[in-house]
Amino acid sequence: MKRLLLLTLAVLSLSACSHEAGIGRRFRAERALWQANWEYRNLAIRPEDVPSTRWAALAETYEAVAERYAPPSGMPPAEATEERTLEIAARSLFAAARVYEQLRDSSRVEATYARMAERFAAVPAVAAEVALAQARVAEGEGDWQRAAQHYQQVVDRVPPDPSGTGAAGVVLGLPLQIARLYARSSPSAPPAAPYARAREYYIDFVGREDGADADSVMTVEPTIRLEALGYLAEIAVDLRDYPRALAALERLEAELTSLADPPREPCEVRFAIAGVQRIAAASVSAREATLQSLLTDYPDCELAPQALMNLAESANQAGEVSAALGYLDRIVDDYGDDEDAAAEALLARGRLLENRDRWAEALEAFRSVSARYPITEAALWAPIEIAKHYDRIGDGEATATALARAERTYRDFVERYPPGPRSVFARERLIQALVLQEKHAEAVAEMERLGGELDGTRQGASLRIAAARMAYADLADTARAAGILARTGEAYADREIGAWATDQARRMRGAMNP
Amino acid sequence: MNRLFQSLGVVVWAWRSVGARAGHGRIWLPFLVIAAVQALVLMLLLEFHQPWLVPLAAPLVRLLGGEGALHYPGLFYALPEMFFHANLVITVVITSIAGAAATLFFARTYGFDSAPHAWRRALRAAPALVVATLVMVALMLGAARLATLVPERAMLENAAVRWGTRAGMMLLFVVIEALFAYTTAWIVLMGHRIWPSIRDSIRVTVRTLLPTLLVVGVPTVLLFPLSYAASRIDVLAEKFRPELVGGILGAQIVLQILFTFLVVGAVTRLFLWRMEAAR
Repeated sequence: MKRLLLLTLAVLSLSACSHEAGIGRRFRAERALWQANWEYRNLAIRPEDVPSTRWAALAETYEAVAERYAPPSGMPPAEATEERTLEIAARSLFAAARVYEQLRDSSRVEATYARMAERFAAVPAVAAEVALAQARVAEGEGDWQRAAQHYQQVVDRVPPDPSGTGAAGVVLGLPLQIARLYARSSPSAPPAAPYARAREYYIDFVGREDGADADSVMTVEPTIRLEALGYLAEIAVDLRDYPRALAALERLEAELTSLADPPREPCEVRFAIAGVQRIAAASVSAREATLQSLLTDYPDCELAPQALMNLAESANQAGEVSAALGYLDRIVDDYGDDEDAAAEALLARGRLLENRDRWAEALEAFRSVSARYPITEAALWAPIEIAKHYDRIGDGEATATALARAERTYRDFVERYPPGPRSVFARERLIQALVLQEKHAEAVAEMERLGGELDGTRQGASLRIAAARMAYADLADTARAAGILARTGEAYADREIGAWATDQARRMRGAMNP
Repeated sequence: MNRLFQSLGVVVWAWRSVGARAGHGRIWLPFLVIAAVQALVLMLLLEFHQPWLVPLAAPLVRLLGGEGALHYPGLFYALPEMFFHANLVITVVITSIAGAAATLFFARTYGFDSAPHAWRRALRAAPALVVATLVMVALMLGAARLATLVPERAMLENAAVRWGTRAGMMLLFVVIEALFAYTTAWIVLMGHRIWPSIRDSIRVTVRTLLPTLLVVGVPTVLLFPLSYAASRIDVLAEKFRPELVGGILGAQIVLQILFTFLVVGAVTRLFLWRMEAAR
């Protein structure tokens, strides 16, 4: 009896010891990750001053943390403490991948995720996050099918939670995205099977049209049901099944209106209904009625100026100029606080009047948009619009004067306002003005400069390549074009576009020195 | 004003008496015992995650700081409070007895008590010492609850309210500590029982009010920056590293030992001075 009691005590204390040992291990893992994150935060204060070797060392530190605290491949965690330690190891590897991404080392990013997929296959939450990251990498590389397969793994593993973070927060949108990715990989016709699968997925949350599963749908969280309804409408639009899209949107709007605190504005759905009516080529009067009803039912809606803009466009197409101008004036008068909308309305007014050969009034509209809303995109378009008009009527001298004035306006804007999206837009217009004035050398220099500043983005690469093309075609300067392409190749060394630019640069140089 | 200067003169005299005995190695022994126990507990809390320590220390950390303290850096955010609670137990069980031994050592060097075996006598009086200290600690904890009466919003939004509350609480603690300052001396030097020793300690404190308040209060005020720093670990951890709190508490242990030496020595000196005056 005494022995049995001793044995029980020994077993109990051993099991307690192993549990507490897990706690100690988890604590050490948390500390190691925290210290690596601390280093990351310090380096991220001035990342441009940090040599890439230091970033690479940090990535290796993260990998070492994971290596030390992750269990052998595929082994599921035995208890909650171990699962938490495992999550820390996973977070560490995610951080390593993030650092490699920053270093533009795509092969190590992919290798890290592949290792994670193998190592954390037994932990659904981590495996889903890894699949999500792998899908995004594949999507970035334009491998739609692989991206869709990874997204499908997320859908299979994680239930949706719109308020959650990570995979659970985004999974609801993935079935539609998967279908769209398959559609992208076979652009001739939208593939029926992935869309049907996506539809089934959403119907589980929304319920069948015949109401057969109404009881089970009642238990679905309203936010999930509403989002699913929105996705069902999008699927119907993609499949050009417009009546079904309209039905889904109408149901969505009705459900949103019935809620005291709806997760999205019902007026957005009404606007979307007008959009579907437009692509469905429904009667103009029906579409106009929808837009008018939006203005009546939701006068404070943020999309009201856009609804008025659409009504103005409709009226203009129908030849009702004064009605169109009335809608545009309403935007400026009633929604003047929304500077972008008001400026867009004034610009549209100028364009409409210019098309109707009412130049004096159009010029007044173009000038007033620059004067009243100088820091808007519409104001930056206006000088070019003026030059375009003189070019259209064949007044060369006035065109040159307008373009010179436009160039000055853009240079002033870039000098006066701090760098940001608006100043990038102004510099793009400056390039346009320079090209229209045939100042190609200056345009090439500006394009290359702006492209360099936007390195790492699609726009940056496009600008650099356009600069090379202009140097080659308009300046007949092959050496300069080859130089620009070579620099593009270096800046985008880890991407397809970079390899293409390097290859083109080599060819051009080869052609120069046969 | 004259009384204040007189009191200051008495306090300086008491401190000088203590200073003169700083070279007596034996007097330091009780204080080193307290410091060693405090350091051991601090190490136990800080290093609970070591594989050889975790089965013993993790339950202790969980008991003192909850589940959150078993995580990093949660341990360091909870550490000041955990150590404070552990220190209360140390104060009742260890400091009360070691303080009594130190009182006897000091009394002997002041020429009052020549009987040997200070440790044995202190241990014999342990029940009375522990209960008396427990009463003092309970009173202090009760006083600390008074701070919760200040509206939380006012504490968060108004710096004057915050600092006023802190100063008020500190004054209250000093008063309670001063009222109990002579209890140990009454128990080990005069052989009083628990309640008479508390009653007579209060009497002596009232008669020697300003010097006692100064002897007890000055070290408390000097220790305040460290205890304040430990209580703001959330801010410090953002700027530096959470491990800093371990260093702060370590420094607190060292300083506390120096100040406790000063307080016990000075209180014993004042007590004997009062006894001689009464005779």
